[in-house]
Amino acid sequence: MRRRLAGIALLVALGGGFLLFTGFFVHPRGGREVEVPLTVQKFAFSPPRISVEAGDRVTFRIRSLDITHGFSVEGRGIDATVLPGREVRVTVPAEHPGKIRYRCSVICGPLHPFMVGEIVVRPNRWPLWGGGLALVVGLLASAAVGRPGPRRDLLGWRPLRWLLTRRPFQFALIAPNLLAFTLIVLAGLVGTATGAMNFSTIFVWLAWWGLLVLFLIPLAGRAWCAMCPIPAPGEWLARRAIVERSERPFGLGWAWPKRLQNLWPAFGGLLLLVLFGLIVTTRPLVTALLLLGLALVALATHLLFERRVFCRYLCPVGGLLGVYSMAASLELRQRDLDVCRECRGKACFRGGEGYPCPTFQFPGGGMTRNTYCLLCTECLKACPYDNLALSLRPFGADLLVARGRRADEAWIALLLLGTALAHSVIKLGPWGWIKSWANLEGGPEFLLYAALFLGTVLVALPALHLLTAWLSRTVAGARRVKLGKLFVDYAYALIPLSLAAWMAFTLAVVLPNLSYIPRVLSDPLGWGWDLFGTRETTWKWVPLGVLPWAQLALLLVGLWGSIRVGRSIVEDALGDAGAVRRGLAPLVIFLVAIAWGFLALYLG
Amino acid sequence: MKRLERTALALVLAILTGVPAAVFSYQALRDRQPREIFVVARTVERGGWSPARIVVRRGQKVRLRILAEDVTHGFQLLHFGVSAGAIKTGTTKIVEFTPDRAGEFPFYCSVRCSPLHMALMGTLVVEP
Repeated sequence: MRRRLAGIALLVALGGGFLLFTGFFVHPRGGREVEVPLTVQKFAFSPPRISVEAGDRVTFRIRSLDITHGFSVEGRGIDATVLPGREVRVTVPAEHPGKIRYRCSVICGPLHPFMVGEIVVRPNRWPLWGGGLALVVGLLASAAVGRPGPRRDLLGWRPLRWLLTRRPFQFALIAPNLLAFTLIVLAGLVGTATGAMNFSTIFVWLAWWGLLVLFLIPLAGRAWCAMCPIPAPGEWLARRAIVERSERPFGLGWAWPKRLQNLWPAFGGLLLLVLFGLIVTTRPLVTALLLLGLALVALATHLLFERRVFCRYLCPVGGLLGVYSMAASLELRQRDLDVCRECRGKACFRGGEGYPCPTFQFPGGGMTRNTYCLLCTECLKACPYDNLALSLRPFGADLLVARGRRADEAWIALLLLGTALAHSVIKLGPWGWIKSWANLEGGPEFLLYAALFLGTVLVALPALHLLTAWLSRTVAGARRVKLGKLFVDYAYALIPLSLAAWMAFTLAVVLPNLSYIPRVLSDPLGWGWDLFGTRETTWKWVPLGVLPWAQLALLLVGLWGSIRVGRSIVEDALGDAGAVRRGLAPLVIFLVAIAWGFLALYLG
Repeated sequence: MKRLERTALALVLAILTGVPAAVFSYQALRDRQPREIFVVARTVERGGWSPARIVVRRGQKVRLRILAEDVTHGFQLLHFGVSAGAIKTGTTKIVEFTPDRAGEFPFYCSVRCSPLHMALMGTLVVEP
């Protein structure tokens, strides 16, 4: 009893000290007129970040050191043009505690959409509250008992079943995307080199990426793969058919080498893609060449190898989608396992009325996770027993499936989490130096950046993860469990949180830049067209005020999901109840720390 | 080949050839605007004015549509008192004037656009 009292007293003292330390009780002084000289230069504001008290009025004296820039405060009507050689004064009232972000509003080069600065209005309690909430969520989630949720088969709805079993269904999905793909490649090759004004960069990295991360992945897993135009020409050629089921394949039909039957090729591609992320996402030409290159590789693999090995093993986006699709709330599975066991033909795997599964999955039994299911609906067409279900299910259900966990998937999960963090710092942060390092502006700087990036993503974060696994094993006293297995298993617990972090990041990139979409629709190549009269649109209705709330909510939900999954994984790995309780603690601390890190970065 | 398959193939080919065809013919159509010359401003590093040499006739009204393609530029033709002011990135401005003397006249960018801003120059040729 006394020990418990002492513990509580210690907690209270620590908590109070923490609050005191973080300035929780400090009353805002406010009401001052603060004047700040602000210089702008491609692609940063200097100073990048200032702190004022709530109630202050900040007047910026803005001078450009190079070319014309703009200064607009997110979510407010304040917008000014900063011509070189002329000082502009802008006053920003800092009424409420929190963070005010401002950005360049006159396109000034490739990195313009990421040219931001911050005013921190004290007492900014977002990180404090966020951290507290993360702790509470962590404690609640680790105490909660999970139970398998219900599934609801969507194919019970006749019109949907009818639609998905039509042969032209997939083509109908691909065709509009092929149209966009063609325009993206063309615009990237011959259109303006200014990313913010080119259809290719805006539609790929703003519209497509936004829709993918915010809606398609969480709700429908790899549904993008069913409508992706990149492998389509190769597949049509290899099948000698676009819509119909043809029995005369074209091409060599080799088996994919056994050594490469894993996600490591995709991991390599993804690593390159995220390392050069800032270049790829801001340069139309690079975007077009990337897409074209992927399509050519897909074409070649379709002619040389069987089925969609490109999508299964090579595509970097496929690796990302595969790992995150396990968290999705949609799954394609067999309806009744006994029917599959009795089935002789296995039309879903070998082909029948429909094509055999393009990624060598066996929907009839054995397929227990979304990772490699492209949702292409061929098995629905093939199965003579109508034994497939497309079900709504609880988020993250596949992450609890112990069978089939692999190191390559685990490393992609770690890479994606690290990248979410790195890209949040590079793209959303106000620090100009890292943007120019990442922008390949100088050789040595880029090497430094690459070392920093790879060190964080491939060494530091995995090392922390390994430490978590080791601590968990040690405090649980479960020496017999292999550390490598724990490392892999625990990586699946990161997936909900890292997907949530990507969503929070994407929201912060997409929302303030949404106006670029009507602009490039009206002038896709940046040639001065105005097809729809929306070339100079600036949307003011975008509710940027909800951004911090949405980010907080996303990260807390992700944390909740991660800890629930983590608990289940720890239970599977460690067995007895006492060991589970102790072994879970390091993982929960790790996850809460990551969530808090993102919160502090976004809101602090 | 079945009808459905043929339709799909036709659609695919239409997309692959139609998009470039539509883009280039629309651009060609715009270029044919009577008495309007489309001028693109880019930084010197990116190639400068396009066209860098504009040929017009004396006494005939000239209408230039100027697009600032990469960053904010300006347009200044001092000999005829023409200045467009700042043209923000991705926007166009139209200037109109009637050259009353023949000769070669330089035009400049009037808003600092790069370290080589001062070198961003083009020539207006007025034929007699």
